[in-house]
Amino acid sequence: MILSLAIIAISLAYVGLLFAIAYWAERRVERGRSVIAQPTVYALSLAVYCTAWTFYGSVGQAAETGIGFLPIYLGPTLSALLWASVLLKMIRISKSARITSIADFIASRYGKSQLLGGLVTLIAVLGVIPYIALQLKAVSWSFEILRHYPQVRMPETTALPLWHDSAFAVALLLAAFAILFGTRQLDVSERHEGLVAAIAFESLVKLFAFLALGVFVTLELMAPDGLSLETLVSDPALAQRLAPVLSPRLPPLYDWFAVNLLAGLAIILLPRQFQVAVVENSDERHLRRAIWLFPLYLWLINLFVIPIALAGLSIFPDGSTAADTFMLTVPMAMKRPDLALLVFIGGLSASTGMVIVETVALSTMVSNDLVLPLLMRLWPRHQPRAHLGQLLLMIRRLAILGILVLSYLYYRLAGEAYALVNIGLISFVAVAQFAPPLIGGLYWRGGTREGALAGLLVGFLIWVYTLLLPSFAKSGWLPPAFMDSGIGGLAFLAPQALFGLEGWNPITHGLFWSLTANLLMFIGVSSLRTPRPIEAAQARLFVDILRDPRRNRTSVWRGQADVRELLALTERFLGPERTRLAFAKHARTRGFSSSDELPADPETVGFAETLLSGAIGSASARLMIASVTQEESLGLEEVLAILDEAWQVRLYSQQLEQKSRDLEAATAELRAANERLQELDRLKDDFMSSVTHELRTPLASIRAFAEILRDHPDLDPEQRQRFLAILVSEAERLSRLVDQVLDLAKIESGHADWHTEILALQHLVEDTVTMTAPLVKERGISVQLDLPPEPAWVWGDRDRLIQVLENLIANAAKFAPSGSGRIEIGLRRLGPVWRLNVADNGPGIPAAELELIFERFHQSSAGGAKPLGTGLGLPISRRIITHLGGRIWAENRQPRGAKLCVELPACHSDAIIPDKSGSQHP
Amino acid sequence: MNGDKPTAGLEKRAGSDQSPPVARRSLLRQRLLTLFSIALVLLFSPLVGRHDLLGPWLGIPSLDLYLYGVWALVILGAAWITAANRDDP
Repeated sequence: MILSLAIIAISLAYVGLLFAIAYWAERRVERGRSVIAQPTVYALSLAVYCTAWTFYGSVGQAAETGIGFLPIYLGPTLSALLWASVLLKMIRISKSARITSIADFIASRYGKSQLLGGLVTLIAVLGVIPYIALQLKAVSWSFEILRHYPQVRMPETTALPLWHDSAFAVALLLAAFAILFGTRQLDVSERHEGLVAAIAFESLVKLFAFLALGVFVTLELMAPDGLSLETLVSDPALAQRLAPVLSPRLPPLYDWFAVNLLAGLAIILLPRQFQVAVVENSDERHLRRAIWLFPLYLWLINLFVIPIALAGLSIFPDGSTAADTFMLTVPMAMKRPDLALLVFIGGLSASTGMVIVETVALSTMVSNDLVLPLLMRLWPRHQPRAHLGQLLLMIRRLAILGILVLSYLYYRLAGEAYALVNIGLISFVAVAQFAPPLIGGLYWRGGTREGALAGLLVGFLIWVYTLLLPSFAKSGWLPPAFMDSGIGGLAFLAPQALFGLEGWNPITHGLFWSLTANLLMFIGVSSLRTPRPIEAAQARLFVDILRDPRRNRTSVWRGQADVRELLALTERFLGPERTRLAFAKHARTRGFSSSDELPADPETVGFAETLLSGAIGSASARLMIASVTQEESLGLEEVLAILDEAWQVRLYSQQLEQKSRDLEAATAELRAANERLQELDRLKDDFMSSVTHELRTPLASIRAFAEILRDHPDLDPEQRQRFLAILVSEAERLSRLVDQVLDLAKIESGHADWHTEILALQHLVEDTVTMTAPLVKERGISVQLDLPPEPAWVWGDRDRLIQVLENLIANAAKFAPSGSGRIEIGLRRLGPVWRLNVADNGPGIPAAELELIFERFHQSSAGGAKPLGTGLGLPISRRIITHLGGRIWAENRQPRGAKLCVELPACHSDAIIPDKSGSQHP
Repeated sequence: MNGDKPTAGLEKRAGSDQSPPVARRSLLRQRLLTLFSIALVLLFSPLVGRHDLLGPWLGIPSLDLYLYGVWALVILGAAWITAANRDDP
């Protein structure tokens, strides 16, 4: 008794902790620091998929069938790989149309049909209630087992009185939680951050519990004095019981595939999964992490299933302990009450998380798609006066309570019957019926309301016949004869061997027939007529949602409306304050100062309808809006024309934008090219005027001296000789100038011939000094060489380099004072380059001209002397050196004199054949 | 209402001239789809059942090793693909 109280106290404390977490998360949201706006929390909340059925049941199934439990988790892993398309579409559509449940999603896709929404709700509720009942049973069972510690015994099958049944208390507690955090207000987005935070926390708890027990059991299995595998297999009876686990066999391929498919569909079609994955999604980018993190969660929680099953089978070899309870009974038998308690809390997390989210999701569906449409039928006669939002919330709270009470009743009635134990997969088959209309509706435009209705109805009826009724029959609620011969004693209608399909696993059998019939009816009935306008419009929204990057919704509504009436209608559900806020925000985004200025156009009507959809579902919202407006009926052609027009307008405007961007880019390029051309033109003009100027000077002196010689034939021979010498030298200067201009033009245009080879700079220096010796000697200048002994290999053109050296020496000789002048030529290795310096002791170069002297026709004014050169020597030298990958510059020496430096990249001596250069040297 | 030709041309161009983020997104989907197909082959080929003919490895049945291994590889592959595509899903 004390133990029972302790367990109850701990359970209550745990649920209290959940309340605290949910409360704390909602406070954080109010302060703008949401805890659930994180991809990891999103992925964890998806793990609400792992219920008590999987928490306790996986081990049980592993003990009986080996790896039969794996597809329940492998299927969702495969399905997750497609989420970047399927789930992303579902999230975007739901955000854009404010869809808040899977019933609303399907109803909205096929023309916002109330009938379809109602049918989906009905299937979901009927399919899922037994599943919730299973969770309650798990809580009750685990409590009953744990409270007998240290004894391990199965719970009694006789029903407990209501006030002793822990499941009943749990059901009420969970109803309170779901009502408190799931139906706090009628929200336009229906997101419950506190609830999601609590669910994510529960996912962590159940994973931790499973891993803790798994690690402990695995260590025990591997310990030499514990349950070692060798000792287990030595017992033949035990070895046989262990056979499914130790030498597992793959089920038949169709069963293997069917259960994978089933679980892969269930992971997005179960109402609670739709709730956490689509409705509660706060940012579609969270999907990116969920695609791998959620499967990783599943992998981890399944890692120790087989070791625990092994341990359970070997600890309880007689089979008196149900394999489904191994999670609890194994730690109990190993005398680890702490682990058993942890597992109990983990199982509690698994069941409470499932029950809370499932009831909240179902309550939204029941209120919006079942009760409200019925009430709307009554309203024309009894117009309600009350605030409808409060009424709707009350309906939801009652729905939560109702669903939990129904589940509890089902659990009490079904008891230990088969109908409860196998219900997990049976529920999966029920929700798998949503796949054709939902997934088909995301990719196929042709589906119609009747097609979806027919498919769902037929699939559902086959599910009832092949899976639900047999489960009743096996529980003894139907005559056993029903199983062998179906309705009317016809053998080929036997529910689990329909049309003679015998020997299949009942789940595979039921899934095959129901889904096939569903799909055929959906396609077949849809093909009877073309989609109606509203179906075509919704198809456009659903199928093309990823193609339209701006996600604009085009309202295909046309008619007459009054904004005040729309406002009043919305206020009745959302309350005046939130309605006015939402309308004011909408007015601002459209550029109006207040909601009073909003025109009663399709966009405003569409906005009001979407706003209302979030609260009461799209089908009811559409009818509500229709009740306050006069809508003109639009033909299919008109609807498609409106949609096409909107699509075209967006397309055109995107293309216009693109074109104008291209045009701007092209204009900028043209402008730059034009500027460059003008610059080149200016340079050409400058060059032409410089050249003509330079040519005129020698020409003028040639002409002057020639005239003197012509007009004065009697000049004395000595003077005549002098004049003739000047004539010759000026003519030489002229021809040198022309040569150099041509040379420069050739180098600049890239047409010069280059004969590059590996050369030793010393040889070139020595050759050039020899060549220029007469000039230097004439001016009485001494030349000093400082060359290193090792050859200075560079890659260059011999003639061009000699040309450069000539220019440098001539330049130095020009500025060095006549008589006392000195030229120093130095060559040094500086890292990767050879540096050649040609220095003189002339007047130096004014600092401002150090760079200018490399420009064409610039002649240094230093020394005031009339320059002797053409003004092209240094510019040509710079181009040659640059072409060879080096650089050339001028600097001043202290105390006087100028120095011209050349750097050329050194050639690695091992890359050359020394003989070659040596032989070339004359 | 100026005939079908310009419209067709426009749509064609709009299809081929996708903006880079859209192209990256569809590449992500395509890579995940490829991984999905590989996983289908690895998990549902008739050869999977043959693994029970191989003996256990360190006491662990080879079929278990294979299935858990393929499963882990699929998760790794999905993580790698989504990490390589940084922008939105």
